[in-house]
Amino acid sequence: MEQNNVLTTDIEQYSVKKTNKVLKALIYVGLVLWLIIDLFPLYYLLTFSLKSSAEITGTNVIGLPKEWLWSNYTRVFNLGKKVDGVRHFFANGGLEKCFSNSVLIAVATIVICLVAALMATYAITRIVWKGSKTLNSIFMLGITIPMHVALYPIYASFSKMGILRSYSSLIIPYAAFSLSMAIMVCTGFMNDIPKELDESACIDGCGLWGTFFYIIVPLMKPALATMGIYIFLQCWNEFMFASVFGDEAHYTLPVFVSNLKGSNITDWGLVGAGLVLATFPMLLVYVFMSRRIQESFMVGAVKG
Amino acid sequence: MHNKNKYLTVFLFLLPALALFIGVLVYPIIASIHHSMYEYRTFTDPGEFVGFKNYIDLFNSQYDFGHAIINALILAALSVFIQLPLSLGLALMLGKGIKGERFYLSVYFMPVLISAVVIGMLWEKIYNPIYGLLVKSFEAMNMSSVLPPEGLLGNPKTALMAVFLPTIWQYVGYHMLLMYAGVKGVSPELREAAMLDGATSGQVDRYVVIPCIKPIIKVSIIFAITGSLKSYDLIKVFAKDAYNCSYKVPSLLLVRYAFNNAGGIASAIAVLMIIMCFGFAILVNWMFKERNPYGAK
Repeated sequence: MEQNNVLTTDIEQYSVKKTNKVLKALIYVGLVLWLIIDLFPLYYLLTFSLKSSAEITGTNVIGLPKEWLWSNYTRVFNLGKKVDGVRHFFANGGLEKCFSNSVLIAVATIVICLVAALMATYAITRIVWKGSKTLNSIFMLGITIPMHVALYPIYASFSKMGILRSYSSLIIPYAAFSLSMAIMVCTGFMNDIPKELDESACIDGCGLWGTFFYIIVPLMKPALATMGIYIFLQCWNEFMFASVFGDEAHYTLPVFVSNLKGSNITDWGLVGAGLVLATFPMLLVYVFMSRRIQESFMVGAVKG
Repeated sequence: MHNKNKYLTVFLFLLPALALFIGVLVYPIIASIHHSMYEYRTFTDPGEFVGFKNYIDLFNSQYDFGHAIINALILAALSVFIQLPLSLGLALMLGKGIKGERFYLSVYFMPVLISAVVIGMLWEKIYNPIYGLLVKSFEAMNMSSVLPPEGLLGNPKTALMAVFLPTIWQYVGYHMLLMYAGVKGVSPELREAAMLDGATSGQVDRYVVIPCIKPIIKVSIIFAITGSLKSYDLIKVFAKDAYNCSYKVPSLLLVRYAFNNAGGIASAIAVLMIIMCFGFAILVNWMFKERNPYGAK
């Protein structure tokens, strides 16, 4: 083992020397170049959200703001609200409302989807019955079905049921369209739990429900965390259903952002501030949880 | 008796998932197929049975769906042949044990978390034909005549490219992450063996690493194609501004007709979208099966 390591480092040193310096330099140039391409639009957004229209449109396009206009941000918070007796015209209930709508919808979706997926996965992978494999493949087909397909029929049936323009009109489709992915990921994790645990629980007199609640669910926590993050981000950024099914009281953040366009098309500072407020909280969370978030995106693709 | 009990338990465990799956996935597919054979001018009134007329009508000039499919296919082709090689290149470079690779990785992945609506609004500002970042930087280089005066988004010839650029910007990081995970998963012994045999770094990538991560490349290709076929958010943001035919994509038309008294047409589009998504997924799977030399093992 020791020797092996020595050998490895030797080879690497040798190969680094051999893969000439030019190649190494080119790699760094390439990586840094994409880094700049990646970050520059965000830098541009951040700076123009703090500038006046005059600076953005002519005198100072790329540089840091000469005068830091924080008022752009306060104006975003005033959108859709009554300030000094005047209601700022805006087609939704304001930033905080949309933010809390987004959080509520995402959390409810996660809970519903994960409960359904866990129970289904348990029935498919742990209980022996005819047709479990077939059912699993049918669930897996759901990954490929585009969400758009449900738009028209679900709109029609929701309006018949009278739950259009409510939180559940968004939560139900979101949960359903994350379900297949959740079952797939849960199956992967659940197969890693040794079957002996179930058997010993059974011998100790635990029924199927007991095994599920006391043995399986506690051991599935990592899967739930991973899947929860993934579903959260899907809901957080979803736009089509949110804009079609929602109304003023139920709009989510992406709809808030798209509504910024309507009446404020020329007011770049305001739009910029709105975009920053809608985006940077998520990026801040990402800074602290980057590894977990990346994992949650990988697990779906790699396990499949 | 015992057996009966077991099936009841299985059913109860499956109930929530089945309710969601059948209610929101299976039912809409069946309903779409059914609706696509009727007029459906309003949500409640099916109107006349028209058979496959909606599917034929889709391709005439009124609905212009052929154009939308071509646009979606162009986007898909650009994704597969430009975006994925770029992602693969970045993943291979990062996989070489570069200093600070976690940092690069995390920054590259960041745009994936941003809502496509935000990205659309931001890039719209960048593309603005008078004040935008793009035109200003071209002016600084004295090359502003290269850009169309009505802006990249306003010009029918460049509009699709203008839609594609932000897409690359956003999703290169995603595919890079998947491929990077694959590259890191290639066992070091394989690389060492190849290097001992005198392979250069490029040859190791070409003949060892890429064949090893084929399954991930396949998944990336499927995601890139189905993602392009479904693309909606970004184009919706752009199209609000200047609607012209160069933006037409299937999902945009679907939403448009669904709420403009043409439910039958919208349903036909939905059915075709499912067929295309499944078709491409099967096609890509098949292509990778045929060319995999270890497949027979």
